Amino acid sequence: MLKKAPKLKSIITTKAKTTINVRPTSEAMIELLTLMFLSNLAEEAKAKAFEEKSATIRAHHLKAVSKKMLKKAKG
Amino acid sequence: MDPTEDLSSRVLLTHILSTETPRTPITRSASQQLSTSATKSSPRLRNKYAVPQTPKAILKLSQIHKLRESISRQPLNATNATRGRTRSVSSRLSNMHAANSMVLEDGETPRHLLMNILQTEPVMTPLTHGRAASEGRQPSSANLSKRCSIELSGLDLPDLTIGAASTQKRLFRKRHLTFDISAFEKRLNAGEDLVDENEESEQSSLTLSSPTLKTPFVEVRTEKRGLQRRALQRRRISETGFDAAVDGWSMEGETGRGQTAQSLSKTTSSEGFTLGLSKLSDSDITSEIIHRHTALCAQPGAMTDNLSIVATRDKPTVRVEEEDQMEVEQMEVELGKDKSVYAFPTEGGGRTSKWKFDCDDQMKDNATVAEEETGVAESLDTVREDAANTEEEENNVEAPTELEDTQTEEQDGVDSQVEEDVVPDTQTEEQDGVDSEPEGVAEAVSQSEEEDVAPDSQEAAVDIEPEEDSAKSQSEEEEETADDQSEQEVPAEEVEDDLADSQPEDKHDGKPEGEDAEQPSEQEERDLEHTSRRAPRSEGPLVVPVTEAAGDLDDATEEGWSDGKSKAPSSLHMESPKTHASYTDADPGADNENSFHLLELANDTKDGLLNDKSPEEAAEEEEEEEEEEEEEKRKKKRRRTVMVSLSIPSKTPAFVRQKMNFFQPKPQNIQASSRTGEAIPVPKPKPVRKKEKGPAKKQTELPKRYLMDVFKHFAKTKVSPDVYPVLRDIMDKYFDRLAEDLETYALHAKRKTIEVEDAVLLLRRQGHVTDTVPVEVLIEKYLRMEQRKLLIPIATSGNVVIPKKRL
Repeated sequence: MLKKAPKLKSIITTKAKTTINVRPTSEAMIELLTLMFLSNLAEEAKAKAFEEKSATIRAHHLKAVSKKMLKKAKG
Repeated sequence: MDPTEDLSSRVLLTHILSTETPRTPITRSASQQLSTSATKSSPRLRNKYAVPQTPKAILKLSQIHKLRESISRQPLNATNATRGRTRSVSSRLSNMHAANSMVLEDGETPRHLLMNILQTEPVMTPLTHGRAASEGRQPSSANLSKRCSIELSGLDLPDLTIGAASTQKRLFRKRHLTFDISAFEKRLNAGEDLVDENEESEQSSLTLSSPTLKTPFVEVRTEKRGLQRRALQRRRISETGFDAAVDGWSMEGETGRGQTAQSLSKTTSSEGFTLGLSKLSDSDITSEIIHRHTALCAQPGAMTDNLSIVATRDKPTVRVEEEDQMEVEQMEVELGKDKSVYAFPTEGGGRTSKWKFDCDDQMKDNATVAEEETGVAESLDTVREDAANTEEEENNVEAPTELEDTQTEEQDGVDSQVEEDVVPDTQTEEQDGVDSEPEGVAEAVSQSEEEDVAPDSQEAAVDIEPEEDSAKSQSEEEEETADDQSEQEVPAEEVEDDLADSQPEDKHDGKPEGEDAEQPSEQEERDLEHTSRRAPRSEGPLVVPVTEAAGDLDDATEEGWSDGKSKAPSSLHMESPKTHASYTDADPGADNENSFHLLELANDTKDGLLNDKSPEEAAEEEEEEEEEEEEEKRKKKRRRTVMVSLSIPSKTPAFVRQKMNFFQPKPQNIQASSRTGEAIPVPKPKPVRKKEKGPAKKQTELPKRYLMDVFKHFAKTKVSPDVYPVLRDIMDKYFDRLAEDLETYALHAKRKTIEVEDAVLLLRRQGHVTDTVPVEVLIEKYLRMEQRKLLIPIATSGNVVIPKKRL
């Protein structure tokens, strides 16, 4: 069902300032990184939604959580 | 106890032997009985023979009875009941031998037994004679044999001689002694009233032996439990230890790398497992730890290496981190600046400051024009209030004050155009323009000051002026309403840009109110009304000088320009207040021309302005453009491009020039589209905008389907689809940071390729990978199999490891 995350390599190479290569192995690691980030984000958003007693995650839940998660995910 | 018991038993035996008369017990072939499973028979025989004559006999019989019971219960061994009198002796013997219940054989007198016992080898004390049946059991035979040996050895001391034959059997039965002992103990404890101390002692010895029997088994359990307990204890301890270790790391991280590395490695290795458990309460982590175990087991070397690497990494990373942080901060600062700088051309309309710079540059270009226009603007202000009167006054004012013939002519042309425009429109615009006029005046003054600075701008202005003049003259000649409208649409876009630039330059107070209004408003980029108003105003003075010098330009082109200019400002007017429509028509050529040229000059195309105005202008533009001639427009465009390039090179940065070049074809597109149909120009600006961003900015978005699927999977609750835009933005930012970090790490390592270790380092810094949670755990948890195969070596048959270790 869920297949390979498409375009990850192109995204990274695009956003990188200097021309840089990405190995397939490291591409897998990048996918791991994104998955971890997304999982944490989803979890936080879910908790936030629960706080508001809503079983559905909505956009404002996500927005409130995003800043915190982005800060946490900076290396 | 044993020695004492032995002694006591010995004592007893000797005593017995000495005291009691040697009776000839009813003894059958003891050996026969011993050999055979005559356990049962022996007691019967005993019973038959054993006539309870003495208390000892009675005791003996009772013992026999018990033995029988025990035998019936435990078919383990043929317990040897004590024989006859020497019940105690036999019991002792049995006890001594660590044997089961002693079955006395009728055939053998106790003396014989004792003798046999003595004769038997110390190690090989058979003890029980009647234990033929219990051969099958040999559990703790070894222990029993040992005990028996010990006990027998003790027995050897007393004067007892035992038949050699019995020894073998006894030896054979040693194995069963264990069970017999326990059984015998039970019997002894349960039934008899221990008379002899020895018995008790024996029993105690037996009891002692029994625990010894049990202990090994229990020990095993305890050992296992002990292991488990130790693990738990480790976990608990590790929490505190971990903190200590972490502190130790941080302290030592920068100093003794080697030592700390070792210590770290040790701590990690020792506390590795437990730390994970202690620190993390998630159940998943236990599984992870288990995985870790497996991973460790699979790759012990690798793990240790990882640990050591991890340990060593912390220190260098600590230092590196500091450095990286510095670098990153610096880079971020730089990037921020770059981004801010870069943002302008890409984001277009939103950046007024940038445009202001450009405007300033262009303002300098139009310096000469501004000077003249300021006076005109002021005059225009007064004129605005009276639509027709103002125009006339402007003309009057301009005429005598012809610092430059071209300018005045342009202004006159503008005024004429203004006059021709519908008066009510101007009136309405005037009202709006009044507010903007003072702003425009102030700006014009400031601009005039700036004008003196740039010689190049003057040159450019000069170039523009003749064009404007020519355009103005053309505008005067041409019909203003229809043409102006169409032209206004065409140059509207350009005008917008120019208007934006011309905002600071309120040279054109002489122009209709709308122009002045447009200029300052454009600067703010918020009041379309102002901007639209200003455009014509600004265009006016600009047009004047241009038209004057525009001798070289073809009349057609000039007309087109003028039309464009008139249309542009008029269109701009239309956009904002919507009342400008008529006004724009009223101010045909001059306004359009001015705005047009301004746009060309500035070329700091504000996408926002253009876009904002484009839809509004579209209607007007469509009308106007249709009427314009394509050739004229094209020529204008070419000239515009040339003019722009002349005016801009020195001052505007490259990307701005690119933007200008970009925007130049824009009006062309619009003009062309306008001819085709009304509907096209409307969407055109938008796709054109995206196209501009396209080559400059690549598509960096994950597919919607994939993103939402993954998010829903992790969320495990319902997710409304309106989260997608937010999520997309978040991911965009995240990818920015991710790429930046990875690139930084790779470059720091003087590599041009992002490696796995870079990503691992990032994971570590984010806190997903710790000393307790290695990367492999995460890999196994989140990634698919094919990716896992890439990352974690898998050993296959033939000593082949996939993927190949490149070493």
